[in-house]
Amino acid sequence: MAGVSDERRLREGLEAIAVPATRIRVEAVLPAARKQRFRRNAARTAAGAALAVGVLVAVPAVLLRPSAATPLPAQRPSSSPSPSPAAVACRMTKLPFPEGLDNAVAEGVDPTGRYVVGNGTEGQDFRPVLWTGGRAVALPLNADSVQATAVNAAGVVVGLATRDNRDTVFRFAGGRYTELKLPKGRWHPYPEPAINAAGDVVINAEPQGNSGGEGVIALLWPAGSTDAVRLPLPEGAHVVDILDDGRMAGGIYQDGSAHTPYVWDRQGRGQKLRVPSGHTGTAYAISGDWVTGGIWEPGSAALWNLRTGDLTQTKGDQNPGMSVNASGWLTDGEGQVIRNGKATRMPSGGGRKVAYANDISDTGLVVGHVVDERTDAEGQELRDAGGTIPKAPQFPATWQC
Amino acid sequence: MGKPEWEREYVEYVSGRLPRLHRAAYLLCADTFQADDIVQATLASLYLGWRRAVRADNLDAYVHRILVRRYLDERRRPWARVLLGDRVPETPIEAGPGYEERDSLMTALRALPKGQRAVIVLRYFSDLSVEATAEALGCSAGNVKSQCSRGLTALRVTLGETTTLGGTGWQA
Repeated sequence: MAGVSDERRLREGLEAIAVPATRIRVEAVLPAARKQRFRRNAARTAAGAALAVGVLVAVPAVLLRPSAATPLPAQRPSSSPSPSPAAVACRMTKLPFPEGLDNAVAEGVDPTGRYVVGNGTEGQDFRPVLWTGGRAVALPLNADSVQATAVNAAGVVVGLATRDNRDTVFRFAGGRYTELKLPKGRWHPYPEPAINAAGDVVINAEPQGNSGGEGVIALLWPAGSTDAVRLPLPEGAHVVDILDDGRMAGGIYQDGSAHTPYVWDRQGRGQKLRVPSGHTGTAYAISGDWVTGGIWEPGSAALWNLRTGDLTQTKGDQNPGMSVNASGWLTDGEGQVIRNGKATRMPSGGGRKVAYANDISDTGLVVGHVVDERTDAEGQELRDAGGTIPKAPQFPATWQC
Repeated sequence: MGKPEWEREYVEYVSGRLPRLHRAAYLLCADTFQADDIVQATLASLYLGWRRAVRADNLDAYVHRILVRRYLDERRRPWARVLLGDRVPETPIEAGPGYEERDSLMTALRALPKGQRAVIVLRYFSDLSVEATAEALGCSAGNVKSQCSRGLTALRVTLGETTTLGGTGWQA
């Protein structure tokens, strides 16, 4: 019988189990949590890792793990747990690893689908990769960590380079890097640069040492220029993406949290995007007539139509829209593709493989990666073997939908 | 220019609870790294919702609800899996069987279904009431009771097979 003594013995037993020491330090929790707050509101999926690497290098390795900077997982898929016909119709192609790298994730695609950028990792550092028509090239390294974050139809790549824990913005074209200069003073650029067809680049910067966007400025490097233009935007304004006509998507932040999503032009004229009353939101990506982003609480994926002003929400738990194409398809924080309000996961090749979509071109090319999830038993075996646990097998891929 | 008052409260709370939360996470997942991840994600999440959380009737139940959800959702975090291999442990792993292998109760706990394990840990380690456990897991109080009873039975059986129980209790 399940007597009181059983319960007591169980309590004592649970107290007595030998638990390995935690590497989390109380004093490091707060900075990491602040970053998470910013991440939740301002960065895109891959930027979680970028922020962590760029900003938290001085803290214990456990805090560098991007997991804390990942959008909080949804309790359930937003809809349709089984693959819809739409998902089945998308054909997967594995992308090769470039020479010298045995891991990489495809994170961005240009609107035409010709160029794909992504990153491998080595230790805590990024290693940038450019796929052109499916052929992989590892971009040269000129910093401790180089992260490619976006590419345009001309094959111009932008990203962040980290040297001695300082981030700078770069443009990579014609085989060489050009540093895009930050304004005078000490600025930290974040979350990651975006580029349009013409080659205009945008990002935000905050005074070094700040977190959560206090004192943020929004920056634009017009195509070909290396001098930043400070955009005439209201206090707390962040820009995260730029349209070919020069309009920029982002939002106004208050106390480090996303408040109101906006689209601005270069003169600072803004179009406020609709948010249901009592909620807050921000935009993360813009393409054609479409803008995607998040609405809190609870963190739905939002899709705004710039012409009609209409808002479509796909319910999720901390699962905002991360990228969008000119047809209004988007990817969400869980790596699903949302079309017509219906979230689906890309086909992964079966077994225990799970596909994660990171970006979509206007031609319907989805880019991302596939992870071969371990069984509990395999994970246990690896842990028992001791030492470093190897990555779960994963590969970069595209899906033509 | 100090921290805002609410941040001080947060740090104070976390300082006090960190060892217990970490132990709970480890009991749930039986993995050193994963336990750190779960706690880290929980604390970050708690920070985001702190001002709402402190107004909760039962803050500990609220925190455990986040913790358990992180545990149950662990497999679904893409980046965690992609980068898992990159962290080299700072402390050498001891040779021979892992911590968990040396501990029969841990082994038995690991054999339980995830949900049952969560009930056992929340009830008997984190000392949440039946109601608070139900709230944390998003199930009914009746469900918690039946899971507790099944979990206890399973643990008793498993331990009976794998270890000899002394009169003083479950030995580590």
